[in-house]
Amino acid sequence: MKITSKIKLLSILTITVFSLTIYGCSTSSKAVSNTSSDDGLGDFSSFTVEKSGAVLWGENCSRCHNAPDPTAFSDVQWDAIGNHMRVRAGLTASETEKIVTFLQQSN
Amino acid sequence: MKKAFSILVLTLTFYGLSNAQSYNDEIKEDLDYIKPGTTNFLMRGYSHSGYQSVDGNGSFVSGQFAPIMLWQHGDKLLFESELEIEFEGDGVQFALEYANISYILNDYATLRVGNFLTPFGAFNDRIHPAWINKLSTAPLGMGHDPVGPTTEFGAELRGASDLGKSKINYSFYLSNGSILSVHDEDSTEAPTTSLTGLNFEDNNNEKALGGRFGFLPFNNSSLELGISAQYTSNIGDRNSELGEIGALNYAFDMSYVKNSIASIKGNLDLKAQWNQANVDEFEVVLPDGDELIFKQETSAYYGQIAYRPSLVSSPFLSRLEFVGRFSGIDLPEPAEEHGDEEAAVNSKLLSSRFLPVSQIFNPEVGGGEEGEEEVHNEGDRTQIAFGVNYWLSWRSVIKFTYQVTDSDEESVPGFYLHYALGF
Repeated sequence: MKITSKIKLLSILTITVFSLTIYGCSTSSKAVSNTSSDDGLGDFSSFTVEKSGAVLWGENCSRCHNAPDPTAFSDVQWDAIGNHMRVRAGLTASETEKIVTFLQQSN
Repeated sequence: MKKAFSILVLTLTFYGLSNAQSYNDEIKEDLDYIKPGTTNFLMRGYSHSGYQSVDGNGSFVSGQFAPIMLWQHGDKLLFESELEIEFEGDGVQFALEYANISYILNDYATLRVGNFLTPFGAFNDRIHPAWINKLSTAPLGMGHDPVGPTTEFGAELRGASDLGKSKINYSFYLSNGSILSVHDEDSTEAPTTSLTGLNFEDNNNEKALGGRFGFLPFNNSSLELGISAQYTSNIGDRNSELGEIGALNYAFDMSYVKNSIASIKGNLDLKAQWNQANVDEFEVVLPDGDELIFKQETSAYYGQIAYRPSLVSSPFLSRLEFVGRFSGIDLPEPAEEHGDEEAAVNSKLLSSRFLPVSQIFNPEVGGGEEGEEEVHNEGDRTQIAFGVNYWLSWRSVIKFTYQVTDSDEESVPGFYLHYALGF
């Protein structure tokens, strides 16, 4: 086996192990609370916590680059940039709307 | 006296009213000017410049100016185009990187037509701009002349959706595909071959089918795993003597980005990608009657780690970022001369390989996004690179990069000090 093949194999194994480790150790916040109450306040199993635009801005923009300063662009400019990033970076419609609203309210 | 006083009051009142009216008109004009219309034009982009020394040859470089034009009509129609303007050789080189129109069909799908960057892995599509790429150079086989497709002329359906607590994004496209070119075919020397995506008038009737699927398993979008592929049943010219030659390219990519991790007092950014390009075996008959068999299997890969101590109290340290990257490229074996094993051993390493276009035409210089792949022209290569970045703002950075590229014949050091700006 060539050295480069070994390195490649080692890299793939490392990435796989690392990905599984991250997945196993993930402490990411749950969006849905499964708490049910016996105190008469009702069932909270369907209670959903929506992420704010600020949180989504921090989480999604930094997947490729630093999260942008909201004051860098005007409201209409953020509108176009939001659509551009939605297409290019694979943001969902809901994420795009919340992030753009946050940036427009914070500039 | 009373009459004169009345006239004075009336005059002042009229003067005041007319001034107020004039002021209101000016405000209205200003508001009308900034009132959003149904169309919106915006220029964004990036640039870089600096100093670099590759294998002891130092030079200041005035890098590239890459404006991205965005034009939006309403909420659904978006035009995007990127120019790349840079000094190269004896003059200025202009290139149209891409130009396409997107129409948002619904919350889950966008139709894009025209010329677009191939969603093949993540580096080419998302990370290559100078202010986003954390090192001054691109990984081997991932830059301007990558292993695998880089640009398409076609139609694409792409989008994203939540999937429970996870998220997916996808892209499927139909395009003209790549062109297989054989250079110096009439020479008795072994010819060179290349693949290029600049297939704006399709060279045959077969279309390429491809796409990328991205999966973000965590609720915080920190991890993304991607798989990409492209297949075309023919990349040769129509009526070519080469016959129908198919190509299958595929890639895997991984990204993990987590900011403000308390235990390490900072941000962690991991990236990895592996590209594989396979072309069906084909023969080229030389003028002297010899036949060369080309088996084109090329791969490139890289892994990168970046750490920024953003949570430390020192403002200076919190702006620093430390980067390490390992990358490599495996080129195909030399072409074999049909029925002549001895000749196969002696076949020309460079000329019979499947090389990026710029390296074929100018193998000593190489192409160049930010000094990419400067000297090397043949053989498998690996590269290790280290970088220290200082972020002046969220979109401007001073990048110091040191890298060593190893091949069978040589080891080439490179040093880069670049300033990159996104605008």
